[in-house]
Amino acid sequence: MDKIRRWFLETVEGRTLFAFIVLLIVPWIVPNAYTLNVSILILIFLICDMGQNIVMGYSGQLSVAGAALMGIGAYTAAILVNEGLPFEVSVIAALLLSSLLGCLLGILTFRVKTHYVLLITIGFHETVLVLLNNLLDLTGGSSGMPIRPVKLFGAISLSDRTAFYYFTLVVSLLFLYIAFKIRRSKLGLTMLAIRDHEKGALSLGINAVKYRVIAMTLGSLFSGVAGILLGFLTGFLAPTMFSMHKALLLILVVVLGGMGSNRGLIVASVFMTVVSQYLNQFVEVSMMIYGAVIIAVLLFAPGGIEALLATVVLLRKKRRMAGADSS
Amino acid sequence: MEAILETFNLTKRFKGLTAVDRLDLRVNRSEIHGLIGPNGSGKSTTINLLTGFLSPSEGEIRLEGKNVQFLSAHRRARLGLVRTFQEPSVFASLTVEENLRIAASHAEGKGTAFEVGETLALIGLLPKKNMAAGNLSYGEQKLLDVARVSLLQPSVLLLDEPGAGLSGPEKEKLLVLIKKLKKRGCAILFSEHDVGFVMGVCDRITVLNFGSKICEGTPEEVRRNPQVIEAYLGGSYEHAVG
Amino acid sequence: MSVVIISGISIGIIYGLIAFGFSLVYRMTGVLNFAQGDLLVIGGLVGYTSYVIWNLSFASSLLISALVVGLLMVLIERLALRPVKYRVIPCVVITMGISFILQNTAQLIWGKGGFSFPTVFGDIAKEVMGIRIVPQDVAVLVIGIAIVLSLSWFMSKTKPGIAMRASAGDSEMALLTGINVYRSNTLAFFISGMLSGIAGVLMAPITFLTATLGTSMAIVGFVAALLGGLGNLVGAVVGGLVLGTVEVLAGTYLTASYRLLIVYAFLSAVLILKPSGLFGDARGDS
Repeated sequence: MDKIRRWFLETVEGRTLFAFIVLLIVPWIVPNAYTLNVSILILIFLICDMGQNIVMGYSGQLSVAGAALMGIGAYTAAILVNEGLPFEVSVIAALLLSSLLGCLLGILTFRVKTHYVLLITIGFHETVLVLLNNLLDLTGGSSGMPIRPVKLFGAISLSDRTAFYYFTLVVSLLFLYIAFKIRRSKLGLTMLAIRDHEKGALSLGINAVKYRVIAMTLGSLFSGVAGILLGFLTGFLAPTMFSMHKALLLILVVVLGGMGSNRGLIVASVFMTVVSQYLNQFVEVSMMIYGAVIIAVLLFAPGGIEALLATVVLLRKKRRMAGADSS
Repeated sequence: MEAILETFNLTKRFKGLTAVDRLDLRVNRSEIHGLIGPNGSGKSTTINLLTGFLSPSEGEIRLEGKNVQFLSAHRRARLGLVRTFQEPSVFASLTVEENLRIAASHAEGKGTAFEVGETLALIGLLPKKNMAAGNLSYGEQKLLDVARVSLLQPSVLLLDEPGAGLSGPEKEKLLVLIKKLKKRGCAILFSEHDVGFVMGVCDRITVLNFGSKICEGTPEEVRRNPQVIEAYLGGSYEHAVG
Repeated sequence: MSVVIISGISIGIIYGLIAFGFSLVYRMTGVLNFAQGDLLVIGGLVGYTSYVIWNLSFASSLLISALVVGLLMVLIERLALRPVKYRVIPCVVITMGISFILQNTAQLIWGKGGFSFPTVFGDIAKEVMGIRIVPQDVAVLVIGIAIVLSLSWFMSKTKPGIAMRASAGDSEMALLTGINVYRSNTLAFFISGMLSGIAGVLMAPITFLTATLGTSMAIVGFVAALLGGLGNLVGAVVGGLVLGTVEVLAGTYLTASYRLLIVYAFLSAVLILKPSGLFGDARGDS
């Protein structure tokens, strides 16, 4: 019995299954459709935030291409679906395209310096946005493009909110599982090593460029998935959904969570999605608040939420030990 | 004795400054080779050139007879030409054990789990194996660097001032690691300021001054060389030799 | 044709000023200031307030803008950048946060819509000595050149200027020779802010100012600085000129909306061939 409990709480597989079971009941306990929508958004943003975490946190590359990659995924899938291709095929094609572009970006940024990564990803972003806004026949331009309703496996209608929720739940947990497994694997450790001391990694025969490209490709896969989900959730796509502003918010979330930390990221991501829904009312000052938060985090809590969590755990341990001593 | 690492006419020029000037270096198999010279004589630059962290302006570098001067740093490491840095290069957010395991896992089957444990014990960090490497002391980090790189089963190891900042007992642990590597057939070249340390340990020594080689030979030969004495006049050399 | 070229060069000189400010701060501290463009927008808005609302002269507006934005930049440096010791990634992210704040503040104070800054020198093409020109563009060009010349004099002939160039990146050495590094840094930030402020006012009559223009201007400054070699001051101005000219030429002879793409393609080509920019990096750290 205890073994089962430990499996659920300590292994990645167990925790994922545990989360899945717990989150199954969400559609039954939420008060209204709006809240269900927010829940779906939380899951979607978890995926793209995690993608940004892989690129930025594990690998140390300051990329602003996250939003653009989401857009590529979303638009590709939408265009193919509108052309009549089955949902599953469109999704796979879209994912292939965004991963490929991510890989390309990774290769282009082989020169280490932060400015190059920034430059190339900014350039990529601008290019994608210009294309999205101007290829009117293909994308509907700045006024947007509606997406045909789809059926998963030809049977389940994704226009049904609840069905979409479960679909998103499975997808997001799958990708989170992948992210967590990578972190502890040789791949993840290597990426962190390169981030910590690139020359040290090179001196061990590690091909830093190769791993950075892998990180970028993975990150873009995650972004692509999130973009696709976002598109089919709303049934409508517009270039403003993938603005530079959104790209910067991705960076903000990763910093808030603590660069590279998975646990911190989950907390930060959920927090951000909920808060941004709330802040939609105060659109006038929302930007300012984001800006102030990120500056505050970097100045006063640079380790982000992960560091805060770690401190809390440490304090609890100390208190327990002190308590044990005094008795 | 055959050479495992050689340079021919190795030169590195920066804007207006020749840091390394037509250097012909020769390191033999299984030998412990010292690289000494006053500050600014080009020791670090030489190591950077040999391992691919800098590209030469002129000259050739040969590892086991093959030209490597066009290969990137990580490729040279994979071929067995490895190095450490003057400042610690540990992966701060990984644990001590993870630092070693990462090295072993990239060594293409050459490093094993047993070796990791053994190496940990050798450098005295077994009790700290789950500590984040960034929390180790300066000397411990430098030892970890050498330990890490030894797991790659290198054929030539270049150490950039490995003793700098190390305490007495730490220097001894370093020596143990070096000797163990030598027994395995690895050649070791290290640059050092502590000339006494170098004299006592090395089979052969190369002396640099202003980027050029002024002497190469056994410790005895170097000790007696007039150019070397002149270069170190009044410096630590005289003090060390006594 | 001459109109286009002069227009290109005049925009280019404005870009050059932004790039100079960006490069100067980078050279001194290694900081990549993402908020450089928003400072320009604030400068333009301050200029608007003083020229259109308070009805002051254009020259006074330039001056006020320069001072306000210069001080703002110094404030940013003291409060937000020095505490993290100018480390690259934290600074880029912090300046992104500042960019958000500035954009939002601009929207709050001056409203969300764009600004139509009335033309100061005349925006209708005229024939002068046989060449067609737009007086506004020429005025911007003249003012821009004047500023660049004074900058160059300041950096090479005055003590604080020489001190700044000397202490760039190598503070230990500078400290040894008695230069007050902190004061030099502050001065650099002030100048950088000043230039952005001036650029904003110069740009206002030519472009439609909106609060979100800042992000694109930051990118422009960054790209122009990279083009000339990051940290290279002369390169920054040249980079700006090149960028501005290419942009206007591309916009006139090719579809306007693909203008940015052309610029990026051009820039990428240059940087892939010569990564340290046209004139070479001035800091050389990675």
